[in-house]
Amino acid sequence: MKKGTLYLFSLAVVFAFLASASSSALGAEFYKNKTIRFVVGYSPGGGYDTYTRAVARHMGKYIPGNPTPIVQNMTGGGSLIAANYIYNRAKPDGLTVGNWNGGLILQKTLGEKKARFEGDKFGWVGAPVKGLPACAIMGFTGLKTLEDVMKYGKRLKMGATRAGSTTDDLPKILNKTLGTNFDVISGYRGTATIRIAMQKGEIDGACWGWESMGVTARAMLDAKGDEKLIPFLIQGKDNSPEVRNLPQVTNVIKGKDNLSTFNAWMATYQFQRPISLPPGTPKSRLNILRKAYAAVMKDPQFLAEAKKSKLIINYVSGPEIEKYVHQIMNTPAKAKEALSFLVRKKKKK
Amino acid sequence: MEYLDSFYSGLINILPFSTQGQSSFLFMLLGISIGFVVGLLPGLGGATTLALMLPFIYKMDPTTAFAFLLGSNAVTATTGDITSVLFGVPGEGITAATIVDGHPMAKKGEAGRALGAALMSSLVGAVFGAFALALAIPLVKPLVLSIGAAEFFMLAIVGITFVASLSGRNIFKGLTAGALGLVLAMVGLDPIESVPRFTLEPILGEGGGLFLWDGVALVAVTVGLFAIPEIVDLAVQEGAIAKQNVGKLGGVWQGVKDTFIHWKLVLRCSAIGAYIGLLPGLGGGPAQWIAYAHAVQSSPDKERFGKGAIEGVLGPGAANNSKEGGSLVPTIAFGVPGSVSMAILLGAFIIQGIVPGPDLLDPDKYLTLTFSFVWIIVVSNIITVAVCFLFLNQIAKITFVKGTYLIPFLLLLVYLGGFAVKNSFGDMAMVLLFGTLGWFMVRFDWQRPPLLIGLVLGNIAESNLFIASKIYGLSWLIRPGVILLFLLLLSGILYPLYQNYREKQKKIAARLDATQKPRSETTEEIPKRTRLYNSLFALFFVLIFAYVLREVFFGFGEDEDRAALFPLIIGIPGLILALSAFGKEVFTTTKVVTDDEVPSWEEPDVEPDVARQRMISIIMWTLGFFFSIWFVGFIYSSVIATFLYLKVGGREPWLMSIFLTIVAWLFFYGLFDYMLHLPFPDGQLQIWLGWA
Repeated sequence: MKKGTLYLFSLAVVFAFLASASSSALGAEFYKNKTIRFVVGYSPGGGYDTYTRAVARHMGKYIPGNPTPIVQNMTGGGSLIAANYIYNRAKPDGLTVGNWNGGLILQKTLGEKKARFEGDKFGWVGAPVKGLPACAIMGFTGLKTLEDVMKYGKRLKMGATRAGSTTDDLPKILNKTLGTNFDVISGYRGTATIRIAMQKGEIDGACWGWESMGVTARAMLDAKGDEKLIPFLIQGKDNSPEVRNLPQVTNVIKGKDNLSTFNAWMATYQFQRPISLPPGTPKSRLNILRKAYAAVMKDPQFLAEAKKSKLIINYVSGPEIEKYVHQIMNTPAKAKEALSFLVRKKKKK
Repeated sequence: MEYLDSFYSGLINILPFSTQGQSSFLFMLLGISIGFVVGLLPGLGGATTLALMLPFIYKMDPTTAFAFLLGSNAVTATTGDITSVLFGVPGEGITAATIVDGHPMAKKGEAGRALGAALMSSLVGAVFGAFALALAIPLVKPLVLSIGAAEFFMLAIVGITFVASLSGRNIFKGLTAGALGLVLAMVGLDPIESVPRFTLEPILGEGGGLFLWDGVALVAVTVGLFAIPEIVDLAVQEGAIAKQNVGKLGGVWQGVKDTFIHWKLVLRCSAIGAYIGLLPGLGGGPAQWIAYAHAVQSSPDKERFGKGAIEGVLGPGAANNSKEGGSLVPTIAFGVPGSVSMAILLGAFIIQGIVPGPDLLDPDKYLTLTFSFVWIIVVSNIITVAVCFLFLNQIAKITFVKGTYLIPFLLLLVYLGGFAVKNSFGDMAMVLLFGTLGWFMVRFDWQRPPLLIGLVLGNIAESNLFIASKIYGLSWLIRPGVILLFLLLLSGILYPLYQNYREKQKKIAARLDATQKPRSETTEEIPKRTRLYNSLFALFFVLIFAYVLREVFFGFGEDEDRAALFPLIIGIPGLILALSAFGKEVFTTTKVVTDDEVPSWEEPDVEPDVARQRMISIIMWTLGFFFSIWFVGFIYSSVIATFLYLKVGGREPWLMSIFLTIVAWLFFYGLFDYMLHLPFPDGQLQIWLGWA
């Protein structure tokens, strides 16, 4: 390298560093002129991304100093990469918040070694929604209620995406705890393809969140006769006419062990798409963000947007999430064993 | 009659002659401009952009909202073709197939002609797809429900085989590459039981293993396979992308004329694109490749393909646009998105309070809006193509610009393309890895498209095979759709063989017929060294499949037989094919050279020593850019690496170096950071110094 080039190179480097240093000048309020980064564990356009972008758009104005929110997608391992990143690598300064699947805490409790975190050490900010897992069946089966389903002599083919999703886990758990006779057909690419397969008659029904079913399967819910999709079981309260009077899973499962098995799984659904902070983030900043989050959940503009996007909002506060996280982490041994199929244990042949 | 009324109002609502139309038209123009740029830039995908645009539609009326979104989405495939042709870098994932013949045309100095053909066929395809959508509306249900899991599986197999069998003389190589694509598709969590497969954890460590849980990103592979070899080539050959100036023949109008000369092909490929787009679950990738395969197969002279055959541009050009209209069909009729872009568009329906399904087909409700979609696709493509044509001859001139000026931009964009997939350095490393593979594949005459199509269709094939056999047992084999596709498959394999046979017969006849001048054929010996290298590279494929089978038998746990099944099904034929390809490389000692072989562009003679030197140099720069981005981040790299390349690597004058460096900085900082707010990661240096 020539001398002149070297000189210019170092000049450029120095200049660049000065430029970036000046932007992080200290302000009176911590969040002033800062960017607050939402690390989403899933790709753009998905449920996690949609909810979090909506929240992020409105959260800045409720944080003193009005930081600029940016959303970054860090996908991998069903958001495990994001979770591990937030726990182990992200700076606990209140400028990085994580958005990853709370179900991973159950995975960890059941022995998943790749989850490198302790669920109760995160700073839980809040979650926008509680999950309402539900099961539905097509009209052409001739069945209408849970009772019909339980009495049905043949195996019902339930469409599913892949292990680890509601579509796959819930019917399997119901087979174990409720004694249903579902044949889980996995391999569909998403609930959209499952819907098509139901219309084709390839499968008889499926289980997934009512918060999504009620929106995306609307046309099928409104259809008549053979083509109608009929929900027959749900967990959680919702006022839509289709599910208002359905039996609740926890009311129909019999036996203490069965119930605690289901509850351990269900606890992960009580806080969907939660926001969390790295362990060790100052309490004061956690509180600022909790307040801001709660304010967003009441913000009329946010609610109007959410309503338009058909994003169901039922806010779960940080302390509430902490409670569920403890519940998951203290799952009784018997329930753990019943759920052990949810985690792969690599046994060599 | 109601239909026609809605059809007409659908158009009026997006033209600037009414208040409604003015707002739609204005936002459509805005959407088009965004889509225009996004299509050109390899770093930005259409789907991601739609996700970023979505929040803006809350306050718009439905027609305006969709004019905005659909206008943007409809043109990305059109302008993506431009980048593919000019630089051999796919502007969009869905425009990779245009590279195969489009970029060689640019090298021959026919960039204008290739662009004209790509744009014109895009327009025809877009219009075709849009009207296919309009026509499909009344009979949409049987069309979409016509195909079940078993048929999907067969369709995937047909697609892979068709593309793989393009390789003409070395069918083993093509099929082996296809099988490798299928193996790459298996990397990550298996689609049924979420068992991690081939995540190479022992080698990459846990972080790398987890990264591979998500599988191998198509965009990173595409960009790497196609762009890196071109960049290396450009540096080694020096000079510009275009090696010849052919004058008028290479012009835009010639391309337009070509579109109409081959109008049957263009229409057929449009139909292929529209139908594949219509099938939910296949995604955006396959349409272009299947159209390309069709273009090759229907041509009497397959030898020209890959060297700049105009049909190879027209086919995928038409199909990747017509699939847009097609893929709207399941979205509109069932709320079932056919691709990622459509999934995001579905979000837009929900925001607008529209329930996809019967309402959109009901004249009293949203039928007019549905027909507006048709018109938005048509009008936005007409506008885009018209604008392009104004500048096309100028745009084509970039292929005559000195390569040194382009290389830093191309390197930055290529890495950005990989990075932007998931915002991860991992995918940037993928670009590099597959760039290396791609370069070797070009050098040893292996086809790259089969690998891509295998990667695209791998998971679809696997999960649908599983579903079909679980639901129907073995009886899926005798479903009429399956049998039909099987016959198509057979004809796809047998027809080229028959054509070969006929050509041979002709040759013999020609030799017998003394009046006709016989083709002069000479047999050349292949140098020992070349044979050694060829064989070693083929051996690499053998080793991969051997590794796959080793994993099948020893790498899976006891409850993981299902996850190991598809690797077994693919691994065995893969190994046999790779061994055959290897055997052929080892034992082929001569090659036949015919004098009527299509001449490719003139490669300037570069002294072997100089070539080797340049090669080492560009490889170091390629690695250097990677390191620089990792070390100081994208923005600083756009300044530092660009300047160093121009000044030190290219020995360009100060003024030019500084000027281009500023352009690079403005481009990366101004466009991506300042305007688009794409969060670029900090470099390691900033992290170590605690500035991140």
